[in-house]
This record gives sequence, structure tokens and C-alpha cells, in this order.
Amino acid sequence: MANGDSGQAAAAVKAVPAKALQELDAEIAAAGGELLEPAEYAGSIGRTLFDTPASDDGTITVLLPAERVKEVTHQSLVRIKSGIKSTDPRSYLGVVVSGPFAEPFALRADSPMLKTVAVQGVPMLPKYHGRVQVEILGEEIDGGVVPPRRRPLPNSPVFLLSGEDTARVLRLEGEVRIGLADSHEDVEVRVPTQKSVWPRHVGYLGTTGGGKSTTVSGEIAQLQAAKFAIILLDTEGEYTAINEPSTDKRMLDALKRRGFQPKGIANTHVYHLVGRETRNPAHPNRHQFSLQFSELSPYAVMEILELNDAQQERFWKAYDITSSR
Amino acid sequence: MSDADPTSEKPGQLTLPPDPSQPGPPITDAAEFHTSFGETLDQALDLNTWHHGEDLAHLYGRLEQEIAEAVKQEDELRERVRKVVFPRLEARPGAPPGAGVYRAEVGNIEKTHRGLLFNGQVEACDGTSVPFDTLPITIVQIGVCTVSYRGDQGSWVHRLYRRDLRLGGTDPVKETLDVLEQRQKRSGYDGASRKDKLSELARRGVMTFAERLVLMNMCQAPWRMGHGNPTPYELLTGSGMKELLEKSLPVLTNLVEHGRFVFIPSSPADRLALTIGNALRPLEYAIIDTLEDSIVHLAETGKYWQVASGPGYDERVKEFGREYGKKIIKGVFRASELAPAQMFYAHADNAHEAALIAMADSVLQDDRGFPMLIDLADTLCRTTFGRETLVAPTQTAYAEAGEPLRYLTERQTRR
Repeated sequence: MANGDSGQAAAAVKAVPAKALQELDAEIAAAGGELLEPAEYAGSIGRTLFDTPASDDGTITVLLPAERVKEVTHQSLVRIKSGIKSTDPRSYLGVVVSGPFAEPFALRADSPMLKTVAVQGVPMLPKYHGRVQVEILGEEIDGGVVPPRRRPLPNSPVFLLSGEDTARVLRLEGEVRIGLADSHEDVEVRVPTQKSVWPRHVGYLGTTGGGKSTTVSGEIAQLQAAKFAIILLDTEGEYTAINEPSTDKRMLDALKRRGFQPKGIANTHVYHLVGRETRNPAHPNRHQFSLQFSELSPYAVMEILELNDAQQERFWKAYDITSSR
Repeated sequence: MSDADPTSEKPGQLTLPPDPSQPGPPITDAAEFHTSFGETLDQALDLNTWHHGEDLAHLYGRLEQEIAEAVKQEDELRERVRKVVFPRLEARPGAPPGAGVYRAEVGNIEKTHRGLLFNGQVEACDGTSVPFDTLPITIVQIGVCTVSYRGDQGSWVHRLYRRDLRLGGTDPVKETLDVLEQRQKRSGYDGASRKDKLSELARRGVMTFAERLVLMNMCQAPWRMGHGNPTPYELLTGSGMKELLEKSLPVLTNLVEHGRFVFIPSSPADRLALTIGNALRPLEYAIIDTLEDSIVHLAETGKYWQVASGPGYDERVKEFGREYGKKIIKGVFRASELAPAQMFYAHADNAHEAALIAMADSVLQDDRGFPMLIDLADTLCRTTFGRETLVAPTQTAYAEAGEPLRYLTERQTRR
């Protein structure tokens, strides 16, 4: 039985005669053999498209075979090898700024036929390809990246950068791991433990529940290991349990996925005002503190109280009288 | 052939094109009308059965019902054709060697891609003819292009200038009457007329001849891919001009002797072959018949010129059919589940390779199931020799001659 046929119909459908296939082989051999993808193209995920009147400087359209679409994510870094068969080969770095989009061959994606097929649930999936728009970051010259002065040529192979290459291109090297780069599953964003970087050049922005505190906690652990002294002004008290391993299931799952063990940060101290509570009264190194007015500098008191000139004059007089007794 | 005309497919069919000099169309009757259309002729002619206005609701309902039923019945017919017709193709009386149904493997298709198509071992050719028809002069621009996947491209163009009025004789009265007589025979603007053989010749005969001549004389690749029928009606009849027939037969002979060719028509009217094709599954092809009978039939029933001595033109066409027509097989293939089956013509000795080439090229666009290389050649032709490339300079020339609008037709000035 072949292709669902039975009996006479199955017998009637024959394979291509062996003699014809032998002739095909002989003819291909006479033509120099099968056309194989050039070695320089091996591993490429797509090719650059020709430009159109709608093309813009700085970006280029890349088409991908359908089976490679899933490999590309938004913000993926790519290398475009242009003119590799010419005497003037060039290499460009780019980042996927839109897409990947799936586009059917020949048919318009919004054609009435495809709309009907989608709405009616007809099991038909025409062949399609992927399309991404790549912003050209620069041209690779002598190991560095310089602003691009040209565009990649049409039909240039496009390669997806590995996580390692991406980290190198983005200069993500350093001892402190912040997290994974957006849209990348294996690109760790790292920052060096330079004191010139951390106090002035780091900020955390994100929505509620976006992971700001988790990120900070992880960095504290790493900075502590790098002999940093860290003081947290924790008005919400959300870091008072930083000495304990996380028990949040989502966090534990995430740690497991990345091969990390949950653990607290050792040698932390919680300071809170006398007469006020802390969110973690069980912290082993809890300390109460308060401001002693008598030990404050008169200059600090004036600044705290925001005294005007006349008030300052009277304050000094009072200070002098009381301090001389 | 950009301006495809079903008449060009005639040698591959069992019927001949209608001709005013021949008996009228086949006679049918009311019973056959009723069977085919599901209503009587009286009902169709009775305006009371018609619907007022667009009546879209009725249109959609009827369309869905008719098409759903037709598809269901066609599906059933497909299975019956597979069971009943397929086994008989091979042993049918008069079947060509190798007749039958075959299934290619995906590996065969991939090998054909890499070994013959993508490395430029197949060149396709297509042509276009664009007329610019006015009262004083008719200009026909005929372009032919070749293309291969290796990037090879070729293009050739010729323009024919037809003027009914070329003064220079000594009898102005006779000349005037001659012009009027000629124009009486001619068709309307941009129209084909069987009385007006010269226009038909210019538009189709020269183009189809040039396509085949380019395939044989200009292409370098071992395999040649053409559009339409390799031995088209226009050339086997000379389009009414025996000189064209005389020049065509050697070219067609050369093509057949070359052997490595495959032709795919755009709009085949051979519904018998297409019914067999519709029963094929993707990557199956069938070798059905040769062109011998249809070419011989054309020679026997067509109107050919008589000669005083030696074989007449009909005999020469008949002899061509017997010697070379039998070497050309007619088949059908299906490249895609989505798209319709397509016909193909090839040399009998290379029919399987030709089918693989046609299918391998057609799977590249599964929505059409038609060879992409021909579409590329067609696109190249339309881009290079499209109407705009002729209209603008012609209108400019009329303007320079002092008559920018007088001789332009309504269609040519329509916005």
C-alpha cells in the first residue's frame, strides 16, 4: 500500500525508473556535481535582501528559512559577512530590532484566501519564510567595531552570534553577574568590580515585581565577596532577610534552571531606630540606634532645622551659653 | 508567453481551434445543458429567474453550495481515477513507452535542485508581445528573455511597424481603395481577428518562433525550459504564412533532436489530462501520450497551401508529427498539495528527468505548483519589455509629429 492507495492503484504508481535516476546522476556528475553551499555560508541563518525604495540607512532586511525562525529572538546580535566571494570582503555587526516575522511565499499575508483559511480552521499552511530587520551596529575592522560607512551587499550570509561572542561584543565581561541580557538565554550581563563604576554608574529601573530587589541582593553577595563594604538604606525593610535563602518557588525554579543553589548572604547586620520595629526581628545581627542630639555638630543641627540667618544668630548664642556651662 | 492563448496549446489536445472557415462549434442540446448547469436553458433565459441587483446573499450561498458539492464530487472522482485510470495508462493502446504514473522521492527533488537547477544547468525562456495599436500605425514589441538560477540572463527584442498606408505608387485612387480594403479586414484596436492574419502572426507567431529559436541558439545550458507547447499551433500552421511554417519546422526538429527540454503550459485546455493530473498526489507524475496523433490530426484537418509538385505543406507537417511528434511525450505532474496539477511536454527519452526538473522547480512555489524559472523569465520580460517601455516613446513620437492625441484610442488615454 502506498500513499493510502490499495490494490490496483498502489501497483500503478511506480518509483522513478532506476535507469532515469542513473542518467540524472551521470548528468549531474558531468555538470561538476551537485551545487553545495559554499563553506563560508555554512551555519548562516539567513541572507540579506535587496534594498527597496523604503530601505533606510542603518538597517537592513534579512530573510530566514522557516526552520531557522525559532533560533532568532528580538535583540539577537548577528554578524553579516558581505562580499565574501569578492576581493573586498567586509564584516558587519548588527542587532535584530524587529521581528522575526513570518511571511508566506507569494501570497499576501492578509489575502482573503489566507484569512478564510485561518478563520475557517482549514488545515493549510503555505510555505513561509522569516523576516527580521537588523540595525547595523558597525563594521568589524582589525578586531574593533567602527561606524559603518557602507551597507552589506544583497544575499550576504547572516550568522547568529553565540552567547560568548555577544558578551564580548557588548563588553559584558566582569566579576559581578547582573543577570541575563534581554531576549538572550545564555548571555550574562557582567560588570567589573571597579569602585569607579559601582557608586556612580549603576541604577535600577523596572516595574513592580520586575526583579530589582532580587538583582540588588545578588549583586550584594557578589560585591561582598569582592571585599566591598555595602550600606543599604532600606526604608521598606525588604533586605532585612537577605541573610536567609529564598523560599519563593518561582525564584527557586529560576535558580534551578540556571544551576544555582539558594543561599543567604553571611555577615550582614540590620540597624533600626530605637523604638521602631524591623521587618526581620529574628535577624541574628540586629542593632538598635538613635540620634543623640547632644552629640551632633551645631552646623549639622542648623542644616537639619533649616535655620535662617536670624535664627542661626540666636542659635549660636544659645549654643555658646550652654556649651560654656 | 505573457499573453497566453489557449489556442497555442492545440497540438497537445484532441480538439482544434474554431475557425470561421470550418463548421461551427459542436452542437449541444437542452438536455446536455440541463445536465451540466443543473437548470434548463429555459430557466436560464427567463428573466423572472434572475435576481434583481447584485443579490450578494444569494450569490454567496449558491457559490458555497456549488463549489462545496463540486469539490466533494471531484474528490470522489480523483479516487476513482486512481483506481480505474492509473492502472490502464501503461497498457492503453497507443500508449508511449514509459506511460504510467510515477512517484518521485524528496531526495530526487533535492538532488535535482542542487545538481541541475541551482547550478545553472537549466535555462528557461519566455516571451512577451506588446502592441500599440493606432489607426496610422500598429507597433508590436516582441521581447524574449532567458534566465537561469546561476544568474545568467539574456534578452532580445524586435519591433514590427505595420502601416496600411505607404504611399509611393502612381495610382492614388487605387492606393486609397486598397487601404480601405485592408482596414476593413482588420480587427478593432488591440483585438485579435481571424480575418486579420497579419496581426495574429505578428503578435504570436513571431514571438513563439523567437522563443524556440532563442532556446536552441542562444541558451548554453544543457536543459532548456519553455513555456507552452513545444510545437505550438502558431508554428505548425505558420500562423497563415507558409514562410513561417518553413522556418519553424527546422527549429522544432532541432529542439526535438536536442532532447533535453521540458515545456510547461500556463493554461492548458486539455481537461482529460488535467483530470488525470488532479488525481495525482504531490511529487507524482504521469506520462500519458505523445503529440504524434494531435499533430497529424492538425495536418489532416487544417487548411494548408497546395504545391505544384512534391509533398504539400500538410504532408510536411504530418511527416513531422509522425517522426518527431511521437518523440514528444505529454504528461502531468503535481508539485504541491495546495496547487493544481500542471502539464508538461518532454522528449520521450528524457521524460523522467524532465518531470523531475519541472516538479523540483515547481515545489519552490507551492501555492502555484508551477516552475519558478518560467515565472522569473516572464517577470524579466515584463520588466524589460513591458507596455510602458513602448507606450511612452510612441506617445512622445506622436507628439513630436504634431498629433499628440488624435490617433490615441480611448483606452490609451484613459486615466
